[in-house]
Amino acid sequence: MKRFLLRLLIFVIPVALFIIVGEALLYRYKETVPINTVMQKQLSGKDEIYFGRTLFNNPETPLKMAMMKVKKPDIITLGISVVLQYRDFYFHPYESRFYNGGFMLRNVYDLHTYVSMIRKNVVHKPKLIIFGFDPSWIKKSYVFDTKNNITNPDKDGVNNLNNHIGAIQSIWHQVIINDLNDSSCLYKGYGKAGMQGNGYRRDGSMHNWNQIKNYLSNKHYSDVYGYKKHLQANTLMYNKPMKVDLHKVNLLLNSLSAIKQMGIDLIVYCPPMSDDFYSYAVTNKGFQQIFPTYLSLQNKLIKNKYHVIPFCTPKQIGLTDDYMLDGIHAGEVMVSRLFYNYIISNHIKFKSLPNWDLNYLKGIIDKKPLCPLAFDDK
Amino acid sequence: MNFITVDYVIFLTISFFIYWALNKHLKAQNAFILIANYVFYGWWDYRFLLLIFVCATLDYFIGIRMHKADKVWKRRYLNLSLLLNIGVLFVFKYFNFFIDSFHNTLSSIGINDSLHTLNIILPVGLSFFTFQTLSYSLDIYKGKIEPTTNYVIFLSFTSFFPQLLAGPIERAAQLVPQLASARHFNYYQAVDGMRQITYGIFKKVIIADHLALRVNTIFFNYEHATSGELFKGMIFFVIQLYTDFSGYSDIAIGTGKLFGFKLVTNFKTPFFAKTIPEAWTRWHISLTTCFRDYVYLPLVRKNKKSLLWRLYCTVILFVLIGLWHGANFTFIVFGILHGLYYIPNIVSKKSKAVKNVINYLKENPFFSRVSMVFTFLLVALTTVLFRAPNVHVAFTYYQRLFMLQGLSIPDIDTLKWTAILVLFFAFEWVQQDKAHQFEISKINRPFRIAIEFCITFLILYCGFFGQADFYYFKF
Repeated sequence: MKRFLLRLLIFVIPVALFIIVGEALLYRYKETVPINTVMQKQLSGKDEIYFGRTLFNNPETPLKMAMMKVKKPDIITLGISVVLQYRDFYFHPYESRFYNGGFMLRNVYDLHTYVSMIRKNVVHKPKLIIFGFDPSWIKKSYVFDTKNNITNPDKDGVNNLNNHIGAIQSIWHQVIINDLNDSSCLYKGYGKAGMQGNGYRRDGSMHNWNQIKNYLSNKHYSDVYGYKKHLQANTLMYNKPMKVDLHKVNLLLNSLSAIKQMGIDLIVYCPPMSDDFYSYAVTNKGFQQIFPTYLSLQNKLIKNKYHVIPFCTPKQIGLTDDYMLDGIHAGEVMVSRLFYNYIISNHIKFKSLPNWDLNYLKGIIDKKPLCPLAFDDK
Repeated sequence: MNFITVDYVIFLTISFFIYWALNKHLKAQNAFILIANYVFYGWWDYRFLLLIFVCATLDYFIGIRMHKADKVWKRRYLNLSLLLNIGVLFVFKYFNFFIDSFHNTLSSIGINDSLHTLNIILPVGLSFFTFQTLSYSLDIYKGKIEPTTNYVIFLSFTSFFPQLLAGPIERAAQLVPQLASARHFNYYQAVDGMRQITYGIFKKVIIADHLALRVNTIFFNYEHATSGELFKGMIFFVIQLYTDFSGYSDIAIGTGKLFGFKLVTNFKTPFFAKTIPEAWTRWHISLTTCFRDYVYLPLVRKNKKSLLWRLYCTVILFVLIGLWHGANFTFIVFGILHGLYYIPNIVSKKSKAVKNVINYLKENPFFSRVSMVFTFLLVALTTVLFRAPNVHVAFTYYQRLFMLQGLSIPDIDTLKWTAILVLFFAFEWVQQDKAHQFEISKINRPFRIAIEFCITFLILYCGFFGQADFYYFKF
């Protein structure tokens, strides 16, 4: 037996070193900090703390639902990544009453469930919801349709030891190809992405430092995530079939109607696309199966007196693609302009926000940030 | 508990040390094995512990009674065991399939029924567990073995954790005597066990799980894939299935060796078979021998001389093997196809000419290689039925595959994986006559340790640890 154990030790020692050093690196990048700790740190204190993991999952749904439970925000954004650029100062002086719930919902079924939970007082009832959705929400077999994220949220991957193996592997890959980028970990954050300035802020919005940095060095727009290629290859949210699911359209309309019936103010946000992406998309057969229905839906909502920030491209509002993070996500400068212009031109006031000071937002917009993508260029 | 998890490593380590610490106390050691078995199974879902405990206990008493009974009661006890084991299998695995099929048939002729399917979870390893206990009852009935009167040993036999979830299916004559006798720690056996475990993990996380990502993409989008992609999907899938399942078997057998047990070989490089019958003597050996001994041979003996009867029995055999894998018409078609593949072999029993042709194809240096490739392709074709969710999808897959549309030069990823698989099968070719494919004890020491380090490093650095279950857990 001793001989066998000694023989085994020859292999166990390097394996153990592999794991221990890997775990140490995960600890160094605060990848293994559980979301409860992240939440507590983001709720307390005043400094910005970014949360973004690269080696484990980012369990947005449980984190944001927990944050909403504590903060009980009166102003929330709902939808996937397209709403993540809405920030607290858009609603000055109600910053503390705002929370960006972007990516908490992944599909129309999640929306329906969440609205039911508001109705049943299972979750806090907000006063204003900004709901953003793009054409893929009404598509058949949408890539995020795999489950209901509200009733069956992702678990925090850090709590499963088995996930650590994959994470340790990834970090060793980065060590071996010299891609750790340790010097760029300059931010207060949790997770390697967070420490590099890419992650969720305390108000739930997203800071996209990589894309900002990319713009500052190249000085021009790029579709960093290759959405044009995904549309061409029918991958990611453009997976086949590229057909409208009418059931989803009805479910979406019913959910939005239910929000209104509960007396909650609602702004529907149809996010812009870059001119570069859109000019290709309109020639794509699959895209043309869905986009007209999406626009009809938008117009129907407008006709039924919903507040709707309509779809546009930067060129249509006097801007350029430099204001876009990528093909389908606008940067916060463009989002804030769209939002501000919509509210002002439609003379929108909400009884629940009597002291809402839009001049504050205008002042920030007028400062003309160095980078068209973000107000903070660091 | 999945073999490729931290939980299992911790469980195995603790079990290993406690087990060998109890070495001088056989009863305590067997009791510990039993506890470990139930902890292992309960880790997946504790609710089904009662199921395996009750089934095993009933079979234990049935076995004892059957052995002492006269011919009539022997038969009755056997029927009771069959009813129990097949009944459990039917309820958990086949009930919804038959209800759905019955409902669809009635609907097609305009009759509405009020039958409902049940919302049932299929207990992991059920097919393996029930077959193992069934084989015990059948062997007692045939007088091949005597029942064990040691309750702990019997429960351990029915739930032996290395092979509980996905085999190899152990016969009582093989495993019970090992449980009943003292085990002594053997250095060479333990080292060999570790090697086999390592190789099993290698096959699973380096080959099977990486191929699965590619196969899933192709099968998900099969309606729009080119014939080349569908061909790639088919080949990758059959290799995925082999490396996944044989990987599991290697880990199971290797684990058994760590505890001083010798489990049956389950795979013998099946892709080097020159005929379909030969392939089935090399693939999932423990299952095919069970079906051969308990279903095929008793049936064939009723009319040994008739070729048609033999063909009929062969088709029945493979339909049952297919159905064992899953409650779906695809598995029935799978079985029928494999039954038909046996036609040349069956005809050769009466036709010398056919027999000579088959022997020539097997022995000629050139044609034997061609036969190998041809057999591999025939097997690969039928595994589409394994993967497809229904017959319609399978037939559409075949249709698009044989249309030969959109053929183009393979991409870099395909070329990379082709090279990796060629190397892998070259290694298996060289090692094919060994007890298992990572039996490298005869290689000189420094080279041997270097190989072991390489494979360990490859697993750590390149292994896919996305927590994909073993494919045969579905069955």
